[in-house]
Amino acid sequence: MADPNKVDPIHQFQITDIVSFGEGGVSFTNSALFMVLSVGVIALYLLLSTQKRSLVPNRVQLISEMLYEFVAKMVSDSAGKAGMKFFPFVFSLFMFVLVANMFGMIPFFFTFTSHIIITFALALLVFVVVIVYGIYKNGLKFFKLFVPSGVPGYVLPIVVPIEVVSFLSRPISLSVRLFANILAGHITLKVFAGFIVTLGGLGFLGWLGALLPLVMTVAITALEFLVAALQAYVFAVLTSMYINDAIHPSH
Amino acid sequence: MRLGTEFIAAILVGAGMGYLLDLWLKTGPWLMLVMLLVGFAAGVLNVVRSAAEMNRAAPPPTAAMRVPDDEEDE
Repeated sequence: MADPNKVDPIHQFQITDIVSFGEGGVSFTNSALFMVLSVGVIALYLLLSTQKRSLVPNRVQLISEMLYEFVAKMVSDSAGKAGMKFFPFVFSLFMFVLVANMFGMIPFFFTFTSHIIITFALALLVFVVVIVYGIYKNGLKFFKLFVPSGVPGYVLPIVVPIEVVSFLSRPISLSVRLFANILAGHITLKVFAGFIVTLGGLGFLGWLGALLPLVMTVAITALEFLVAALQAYVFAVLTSMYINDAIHPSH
Repeated sequence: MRLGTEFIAAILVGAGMGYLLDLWLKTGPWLMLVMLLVGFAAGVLNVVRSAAEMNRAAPPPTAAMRVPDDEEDE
């Protein structure tokens, strides 16, 4: 930001073309670049760190094993043994969101999870997987998900629409939660950092006052690391809970 | 944060469905109002469910110590 009096906290989310193919056609944006980078980093890290397969793991291998066991425990806790079929799916989602959020914490890097279209696409993927697998596995019994057991027949006309709306709201709450947390955190960070620059323009007293937002910025940065990891975890936990619904459709 | 998004998402989906049904069936604002209420109910249901989930993940200490499991589910 060249002009210290003009702080623009939204600017960091701007999408710019890097390579574009034809007028108004497909283009390779900075968002896509960081998606490719995240996938590349995940693949490289996991491949290289598990290459030696030593019985006594070194530090790098230990982290990969801990990530594996963490997600494996999460999936088997919420979706049971049958849910482990979906372990690769949940693990990929978890790693993708985690690395994307962590990339966002590096200065000058683009945070693609702060765009709702990306988190919504991920949530929609989960939603479609749950529906398709649920119908494939249970057939029409999958729709028992909308009919809670032990409810008398005459209240079903009220209960079923409520359950349907509750089910349809899942991809929205899943995507909005991740997107809103990341977006709000990054804007807050930028606004507080902007205060430092603006106050600094006021001379000596300004610099003294700028100490306060400086402390805040450091604290919020630490908080954002927590949020970045936590939101990846929440996304993966909810995914495995929804998969559990697809496998065992009765409440 | 988590409970809030669960609640709002259900209301938005309910109202949106009602609005689209109204456009399709040309039935004034009525279906949207009905579906808004249904969405509200679904939102409360979502919140109750995820709160129950949180309690199961981390049970309140005093209640868990005194009476392990004497009410509701399972």
